[in-house]
Amino acid sequence: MVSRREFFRGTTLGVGGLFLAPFLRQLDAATAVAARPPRIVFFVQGNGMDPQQIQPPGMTRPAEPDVLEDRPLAGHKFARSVAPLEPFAQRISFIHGLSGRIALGNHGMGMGALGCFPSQKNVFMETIDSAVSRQLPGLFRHVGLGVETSPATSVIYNVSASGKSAPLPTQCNPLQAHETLFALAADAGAEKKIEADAKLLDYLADDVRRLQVRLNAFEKAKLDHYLHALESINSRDSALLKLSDRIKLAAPHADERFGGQAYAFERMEAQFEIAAGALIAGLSNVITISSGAGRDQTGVDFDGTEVGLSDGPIPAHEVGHNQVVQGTPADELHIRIRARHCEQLAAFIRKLDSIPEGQGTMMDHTLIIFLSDAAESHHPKGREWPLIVIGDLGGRLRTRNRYLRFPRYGKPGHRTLASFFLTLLHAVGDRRDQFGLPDPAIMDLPQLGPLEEILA
Amino acid sequence: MRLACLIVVLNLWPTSDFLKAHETDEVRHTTKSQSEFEQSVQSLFGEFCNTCHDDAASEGGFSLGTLDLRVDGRDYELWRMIDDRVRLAEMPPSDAQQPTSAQREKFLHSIRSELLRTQQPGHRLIKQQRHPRFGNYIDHDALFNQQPGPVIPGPPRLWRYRAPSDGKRLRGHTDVHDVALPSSPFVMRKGRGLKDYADLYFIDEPVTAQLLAKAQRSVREQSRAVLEMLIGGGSPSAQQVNGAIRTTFQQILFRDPTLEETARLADLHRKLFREHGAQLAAERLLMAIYLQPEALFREELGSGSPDNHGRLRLAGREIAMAISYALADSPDPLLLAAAEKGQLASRAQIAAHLQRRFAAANQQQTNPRIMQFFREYFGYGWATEVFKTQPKRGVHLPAMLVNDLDLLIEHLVGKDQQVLNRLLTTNEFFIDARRVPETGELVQATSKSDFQADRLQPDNPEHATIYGLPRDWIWVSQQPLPVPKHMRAGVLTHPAWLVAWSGNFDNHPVQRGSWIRTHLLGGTVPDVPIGVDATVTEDQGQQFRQRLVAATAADECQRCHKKMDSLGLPFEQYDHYGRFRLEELERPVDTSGGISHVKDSTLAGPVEDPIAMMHRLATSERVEQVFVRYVFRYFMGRNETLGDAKTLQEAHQAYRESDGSFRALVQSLLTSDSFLYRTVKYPVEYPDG
Repeated sequence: MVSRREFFRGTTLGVGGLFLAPFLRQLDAATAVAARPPRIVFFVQGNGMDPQQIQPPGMTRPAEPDVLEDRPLAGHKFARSVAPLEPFAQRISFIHGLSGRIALGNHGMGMGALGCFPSQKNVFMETIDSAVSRQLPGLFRHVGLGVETSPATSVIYNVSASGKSAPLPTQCNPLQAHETLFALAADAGAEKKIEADAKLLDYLADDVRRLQVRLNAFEKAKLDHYLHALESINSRDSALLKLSDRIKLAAPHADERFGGQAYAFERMEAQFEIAAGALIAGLSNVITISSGAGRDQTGVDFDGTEVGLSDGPIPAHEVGHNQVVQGTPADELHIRIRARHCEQLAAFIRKLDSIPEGQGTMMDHTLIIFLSDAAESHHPKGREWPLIVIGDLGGRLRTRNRYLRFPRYGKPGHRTLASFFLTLLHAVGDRRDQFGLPDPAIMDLPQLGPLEEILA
Repeated sequence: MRLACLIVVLNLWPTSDFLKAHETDEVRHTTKSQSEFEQSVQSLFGEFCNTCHDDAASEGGFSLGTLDLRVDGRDYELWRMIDDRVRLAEMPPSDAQQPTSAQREKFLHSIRSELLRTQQPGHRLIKQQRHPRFGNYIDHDALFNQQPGPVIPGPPRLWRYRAPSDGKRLRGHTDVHDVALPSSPFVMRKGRGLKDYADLYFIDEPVTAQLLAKAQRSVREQSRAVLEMLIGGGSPSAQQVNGAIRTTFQQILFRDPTLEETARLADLHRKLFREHGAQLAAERLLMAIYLQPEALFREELGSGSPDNHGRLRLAGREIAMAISYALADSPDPLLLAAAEKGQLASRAQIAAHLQRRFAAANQQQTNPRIMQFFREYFGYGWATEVFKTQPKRGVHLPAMLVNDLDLLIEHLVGKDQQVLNRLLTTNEFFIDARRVPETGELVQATSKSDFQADRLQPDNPEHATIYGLPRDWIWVSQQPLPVPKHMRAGVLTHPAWLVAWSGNFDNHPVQRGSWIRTHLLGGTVPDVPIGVDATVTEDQGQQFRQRLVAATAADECQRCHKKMDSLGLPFEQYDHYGRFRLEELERPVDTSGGISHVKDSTLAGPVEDPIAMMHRLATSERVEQVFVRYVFRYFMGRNETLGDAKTLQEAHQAYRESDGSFRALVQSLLTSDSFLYRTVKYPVEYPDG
């Protein structure tokens, strides 16, 4: 852990000396009064996560294990695709062997992945990120950030939902996300603009209500979304004004990586910086970052130069189909692409680990779940859904330095992804019996209750 | 054994992303007829069904003990299934006691009456029916085979503006992702099927946040002169503020503000100016106009007094905008001018404007939404989304295939005679061609930029081999070209359509059959049940038909697959790249299939191959009617109800009487009461939620 002075000297979060003192005072106040709620970050990469590619070299991997395998992870060399995470081995768990066939789809399973329901049902139930956010409320209950192939894509609804027919947005334009979260840091006159906006928003809300009088209930409800948005932005703007100093300190500098001309990994880097800023500023406690994920999505078409090759697209779908692109086999492309994702994840972890909180750092009270919405492959089978879990949620989970592999699908002791998500819910205080839908093909196995192997 | 990745996705469209659950809509229906209905069905359940389907037995996981006896309640889908099973005499099973014909008829009549009740206009109880994929839930016979009453159109509504489609982008590109200019906050849903329904889109918080940011930029860029006028001279006069309001109204809303609107906005400006100065006051004033609900949603509210049927006619300006956006993505100044002068008061006046637009030389530029209908209806643009490795012989250029089919459809729609029939039967195809927009001349599509999606040199001579032409075929400008009649018959035998409805490594008879069942026969196909692993095993020694038959042989699979597979299997005539073949795995390919589960005796029966099937389907009046239903949905932006029967029958009649003119069909729809009127209040028994 670095000292606060060192942190502020080294950080890239756009900190200026003028704002240092109030931020320190706020941090002190936060630690002195009450611990802030823990934070959970979901990192969802499209195109599958092959368990073989993240298996520590030299660690045997039985084809069809019949018993739970539970061993320390530290001391093992990490596979190349996840090597950037090796420095954090003491606080990482690789969790293998959980199945998620209930969500089964053709490619990415989108909301089915985080919701544990059939992906073809699309927005069928609440997803886990939304569910935990109910226990970890913030000014923004949930923040969705993402990267798609097209840098111009603005908002998509791909992996998260707060309930049936209620998808949660993923902001794919870092500049837009930055404006939403850090408007107060964007320019010196932001406070005045927000005050003026309040009058504008009031006027617009009044306009909407005037029109609603002429509408039937359904059309009125359609317009309610706009009305609620105007009111919500208005009231949140007021709340943001109170956090103004903190936001200015935590806001990342929106440079060219945030813009429409940026490469995909640059945009992802920007999104990670936004996520870190949002957590540090205390704007939200649950963030989902997705990379080419979503129902029937197949990852991002990165540029060759981003993975050490020549200029030109690396079509994610062709990589998924084991094609050779630019003379490079798909396996190697998968490894390079995941390694780049892990580099960015590692930078994010370092950033949170450099911020003091309580007796430790922010990272000590943060949990990151790294998975693919396409389970183990481009065309998933869902019998094994690899997870990389970083952090232990302030000791609520036993997910430090472990390699866990559950018995194979259908065998006694086998568990599902839904059970893991239920474990998260228990860890944050929601002690329900079930999350998502059970897998009807293994009804003879226990599918209720959390994973006792993980819950502290 | 490795499993093929042919996931049987029957859910052709995502379930409604944006149909929010408005529980308050669920007005419950409790009437005397409900209790009569319950008595009627309960007695038959007790006599014939409870042995297997009571709480204790629950055969097939289905218990009548927990069934919601309101057809429009939570078990709506189960009631549809019960109706289906009993109608097809699948239930009670053959080894169980059978009801008499009269009992069966009475039972079916009871359920159908209740189901029809949910299909009446204004019935909002089944909210899913607002989604395109539920359009066929409305009873076809009740729409077309009964004397229709007066049209009962939908209620006054708002329709969020869509991101403009761009014809140039669409051709030869991945239209699925590019159909909505991604910089627009008004992104349309992805995937296949009709996209722009009024009920599918709203404006939520992240979209609003984008709009606020965009409005600020737009005001500075598009209203610079007005801003300078308001800011430049210190405190602007009331006249200047009112002038700015009027100018911006004309620019954004294409109309003058009312006195009340001007007064409210001027008041807003005054307050802002007093507290925040000229710059912020001017910008926020103009942003207030840019962000008015009317600037984000197209209004179809109607005006004047209701007619004898309780219907309001759309205001002239609303009609001008409705027609503009039915055919394109921007307002038509001539229509707006006509509305201003009160010249859209009669159907003849509206028809004259439609004919003006249909007469334009460049249809794709003038009426891009016409071609967009065919792209969404047939779904062939998806061909570029289905990943395939290059074949061992020849090439696979999906963007070029899509372009070829675009040209064919444009050609047939341009001819405007027997459009559907020719779309389903033509053996004249365009190959490797591009039309020069300025001259209309047909040239070889050799521009690399036309086919970026293929990432291959486009002038590859082997492209033509997909159509059965020799490798050394020399391109000719006299197109379309005839291909042998025994090889191709219409869009469904075009490689673009075949690829769009195929898997990565194999054909997809289930998807193809499902498409025909829904889009030509007007039937319905349920989702894959939860927990079903819908994959076909990969076995290089077996033809795909054999593998599919084996994978779907179980009774529980056949309940749905019998509605699809026999319609899709004739397309085994082609490989999954869309190439005609006589053999698969060095054995003769079996192209037999059949049309079943239809009432029309001229349609039903086995077919030898896809050519015979397409010719039979193309002559069917029912297929024509189903096509009319889809055209209706596209242009109305909603599913039909039984209150639209007259509109649909007249549209079909217009199509027939005009020798199959698509323009006549569209004109009939866009001058219909369903398009021009809105129902203010529905009959009391069908409360408007």
